[in-house]
Amino acid sequence: MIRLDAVSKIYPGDVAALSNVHLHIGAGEFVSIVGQSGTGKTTLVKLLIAEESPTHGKIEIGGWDISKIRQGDVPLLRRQMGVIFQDFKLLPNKTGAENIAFALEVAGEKRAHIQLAVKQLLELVGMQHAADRFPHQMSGGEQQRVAIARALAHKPKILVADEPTGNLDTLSTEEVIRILKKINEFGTTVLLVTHNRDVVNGLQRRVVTLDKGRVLHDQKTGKYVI
Amino acid sequence: MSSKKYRANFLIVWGRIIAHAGQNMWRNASLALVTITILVLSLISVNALLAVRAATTAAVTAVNKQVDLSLFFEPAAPEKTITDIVAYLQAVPNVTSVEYTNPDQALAAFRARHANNDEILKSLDVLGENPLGALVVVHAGSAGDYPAIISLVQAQPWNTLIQQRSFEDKTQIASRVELLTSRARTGSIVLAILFSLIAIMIIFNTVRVAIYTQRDEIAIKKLVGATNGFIRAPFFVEGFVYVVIACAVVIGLLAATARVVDPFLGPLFSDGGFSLHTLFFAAPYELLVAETIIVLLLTWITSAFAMRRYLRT
Repeated sequence: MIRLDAVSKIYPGDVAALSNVHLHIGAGEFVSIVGQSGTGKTTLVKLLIAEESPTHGKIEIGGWDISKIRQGDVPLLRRQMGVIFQDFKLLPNKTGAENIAFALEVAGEKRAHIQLAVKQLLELVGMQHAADRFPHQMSGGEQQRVAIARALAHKPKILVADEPTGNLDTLSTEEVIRILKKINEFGTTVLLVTHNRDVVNGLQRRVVTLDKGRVLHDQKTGKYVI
Repeated sequence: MSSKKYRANFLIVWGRIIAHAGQNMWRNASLALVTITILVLSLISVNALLAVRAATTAAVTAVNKQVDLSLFFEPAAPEKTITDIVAYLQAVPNVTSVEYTNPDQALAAFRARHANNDEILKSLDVLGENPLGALVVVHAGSAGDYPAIISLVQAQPWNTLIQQRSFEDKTQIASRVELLTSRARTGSIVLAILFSLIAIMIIFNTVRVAIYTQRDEIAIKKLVGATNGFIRAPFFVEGFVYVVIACAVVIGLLAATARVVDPFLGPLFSDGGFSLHTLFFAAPYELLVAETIIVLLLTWITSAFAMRRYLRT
């Protein structure tokens, strides 16, 4: 599903964020990417969503080599994978339902399909009550659940979660992780980038540990070991 | 894709773009209001300057028309000679018209002018003959043309037939009017360029700030798979609406100003050479149409330029 072959990302000034990373993530896996700040976790996410391109190496997503993706194809890639962030990245002037609908509107989906999909997605994350609320009228946990619903709008095969619990309290964190596990049970590959030790240890799933831009450990049912 | 399906998709996409633009304007009403207000103020300042420039030009033209060269001939000068002189002057370059008043017409006009003054009329009767000579009035294209015409007249052999010479006075007036015309023209051009540049900079920065405040939203839209075109288009639609509203407000203000100010301008420009209504609302409304198109293009180009950096990632 996701394959990185000898991927390096070197920023100006010879700063290597990632060095010769080899990683293969199969369909339906739930993988936690862990590591201390500055180890390249966020760079990895940026490469996967084509926000940046690798300096060396090759990245394949679902067999599609995105290492040298054309700018015009980036929207197509992003419609095939869901992404959620620590700061939620909801459109502030749109309601919960409108935020989800927007992801479908950009793909040219029909209105009837959008209405139905938005309703189902809000139910999936338990946020029917927030359909008409603006982000500033929701708690952090609620905003993240709407963001997850939006990320699932295109029924992606891959969901990338970049520190999704970083701004949440314990209860909201548990709720978000529960939803991610549920999504994974439906067959979606989940890539969780985090430095939350409790979350990683509680999952009992594959853990990839990054250190100084390199893969330090890759454990099938690992723990947060740093 | 069949043309029917393509048309349906086109309508869906544009329907959504317009809906997003409308929603964004409504939910960012304060930003929209500020943007429109600044557009209105910029347009008003440019139009005010255009009005001042047009009024100055009309005033200078009116003053130019007041300057002429009057040649008073000896009463004994033969009429045939004077009509030849008139024909000669009419052929001189830069002379726009020559008016000839023969001695009888001059006397009749003099009597009419002093109809209430018995002493003058009695004096004329005592003289028993017409003391007035012919009058030739020369009009030139501009005040700057008179010195050359005066030199030409002075060089002619029939110059001795001219009884009254006020050439020097005319030269002085002509040179002053020419100086005034030249300075007014230069000043109004400089001010027009300056105001236009200020207006362009204000509009440019207003649009940039409006887009800067939405830079995070642009990035989020990109992250959820929106194409650059789908992100850009609502901004262009918003820009179009802002410009149309601003121009409509400015047209309304100009119409109201013209209604109030034109009656006061009428007596100043007795020949009807200038009015705000004529300046702004004479068909085919080229000034207002040109302003709308320029501001719209400026808004769109600025929007595209300002968004470019936020659309890169």
